[in-house]
Amino acid sequence: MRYKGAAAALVLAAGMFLLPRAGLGVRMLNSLAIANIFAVYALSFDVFSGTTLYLNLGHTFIIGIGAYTTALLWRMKGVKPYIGIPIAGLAAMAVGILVFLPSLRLRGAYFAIASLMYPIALYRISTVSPFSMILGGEGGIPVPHPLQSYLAELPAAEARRAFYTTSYYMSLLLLLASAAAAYKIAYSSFGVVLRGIGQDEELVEASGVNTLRYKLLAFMASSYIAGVAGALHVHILMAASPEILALDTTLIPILSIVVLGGLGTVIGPLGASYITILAYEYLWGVMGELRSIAFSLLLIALIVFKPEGLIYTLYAKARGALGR
Amino acid sequence: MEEILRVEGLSKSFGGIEAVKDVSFSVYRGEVLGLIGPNGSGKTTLVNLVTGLIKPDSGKVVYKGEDITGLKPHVIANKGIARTFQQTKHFPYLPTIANVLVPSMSPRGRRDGSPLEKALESLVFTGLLAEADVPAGRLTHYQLKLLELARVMALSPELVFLDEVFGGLSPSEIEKVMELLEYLNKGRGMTLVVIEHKLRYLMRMADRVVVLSYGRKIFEGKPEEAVKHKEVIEAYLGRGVFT
Ligand SMILES: Nc1ncnc2c1ncn2[C@@H]1O[C@H](COP(=O)(O)OP(=O)(O)OP(=O)(O)O)[C@@H](O)[C@H]1O
Ligand SMILES: [Mg+2]
Repeated sequence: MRYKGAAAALVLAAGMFLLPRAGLGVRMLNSLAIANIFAVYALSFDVFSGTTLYLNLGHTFIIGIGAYTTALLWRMKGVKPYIGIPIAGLAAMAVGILVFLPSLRLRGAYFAIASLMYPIALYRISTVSPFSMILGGEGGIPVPHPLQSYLAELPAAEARRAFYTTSYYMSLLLLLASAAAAYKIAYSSFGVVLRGIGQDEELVEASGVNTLRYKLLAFMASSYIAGVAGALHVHILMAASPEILALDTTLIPILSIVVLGGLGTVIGPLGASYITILAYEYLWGVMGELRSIAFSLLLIALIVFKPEGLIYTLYAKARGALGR
Repeated sequence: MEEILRVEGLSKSFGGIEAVKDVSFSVYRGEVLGLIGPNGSGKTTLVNLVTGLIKPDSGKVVYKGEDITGLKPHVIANKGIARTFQQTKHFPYLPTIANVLVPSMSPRGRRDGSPLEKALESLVFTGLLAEADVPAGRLTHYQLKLLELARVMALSPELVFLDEVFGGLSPSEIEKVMELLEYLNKGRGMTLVVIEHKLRYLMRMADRVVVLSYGRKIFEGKPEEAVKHKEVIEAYLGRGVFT
């Protein structure tokens, strides 16, 4: 049964690798690359918040630290993206711990509220002087595509498609690595303790387990993945701008994905990411700014009517139908 | 007799209520100590104070010669003090086996064998093996009480506080739980502090009893003497607990 699951995952991954060959347009490829990145955001959120139920509404802060780290490294020191991106993950993890450690002792709603303040503060900071001078203000910091030098050598006709194809592949690789890591964490005995914390933290403590240590480790894993994804995201967009910190452009899609997919299920958010991001992109053309309102409403409806996650429910049903 | 735990002048009040007031007593290794007293007399509060869930206003808790007052619950658990909860606690969305895996993943639980083996063993002893895959939220009240004991076993403690483990159980269920407790005490060498309203059952198990009333210790000694003690009788008067 275990091998069947692994085999299914492999087939799925292979399918995703072949997608760009299916004659998709560059616009679609771009959307899929963004969907991959958002799937990583959602997975990294899920690893910590989906298991412990410490809702980290400040996840975009962590993402933003990753994004601005690689951008600043490039701008100030000319550090190449392939070095900047992993460093961004470490920076997101370090800053995340520093900033979140005090609030990791808070329970429930207090943690969620405290965490929401960080991205809001960083957003402000990034847009007012003197910091906007360094962080590029609303427009952000221009950064190169990770494969800039390779793309520059291609003939102009091929370069455009190669830009989107390589973006897609890089985001896909990151997604597969993150999904494997997230799955390992959430479905191990380590994950059992994390879920225990989400259901009765006092009982975990009384069972002789140091909950702060587990929360911290899960938070570090979550932050590292989110930081790396944030960094790759800005290199694909070719600019690190405050949009990546914002509620409507980043947090609402992430929450929608996780809730649609099923909190703490890993597999759910993975599937939900494509549906959500493609719909989100599509709705931009239809209703513009209103899309974030539409999604907020959807989010509320899902929480009320399907708290266990629509996608995960479907997945569990399908598995049941196939006799696992 | 080797002393395993000693509380010295322990006090705790909530607002104006003195839940535990200047309580001192010792627990000796290997014994079964009954901790009794009417509703609201401070029994649960005392357990919470010893296991670190709440901090005392004054007084000391000494475990195996070490002052453990005010340490964190997980630190105290790892020193070898386990407890069950009066309002049974469990992780409702985790399978029964995972509920037991949490204590067996603790540093103390890991000392003797792999966490999974330990967890399985605890389920076998408590008769919950058949429910291993069932989410704990679907267990019956009786099974949840057994789960509390399975969790205790998975921690391999030396001293266990059992806060009304018989609560809400039928006579035949109580007999089974008592058998298990006897095994923990005699077979595994665990020292037990048993909190129970129904003295009928407690008298059968306890070597000694400590009686609380309004947060104070009013008696310490042999169970058969407790029921003859004037203050104890008064504390319980009209409550029908001797039947
Ligand atoms: N967290 C708390 N906040 C306020 N008051 C409390 C708290 N915990 C206990 N009390 C009060 O302290 C007193 C002792 O309560 P405790 O639960 O220790 O009694 P008990 O002997 O365990 O009673 P029971 O037999 O009903 O379980 C009661 O008056 C109770 O209302
Ligand atoms: Mg009580």
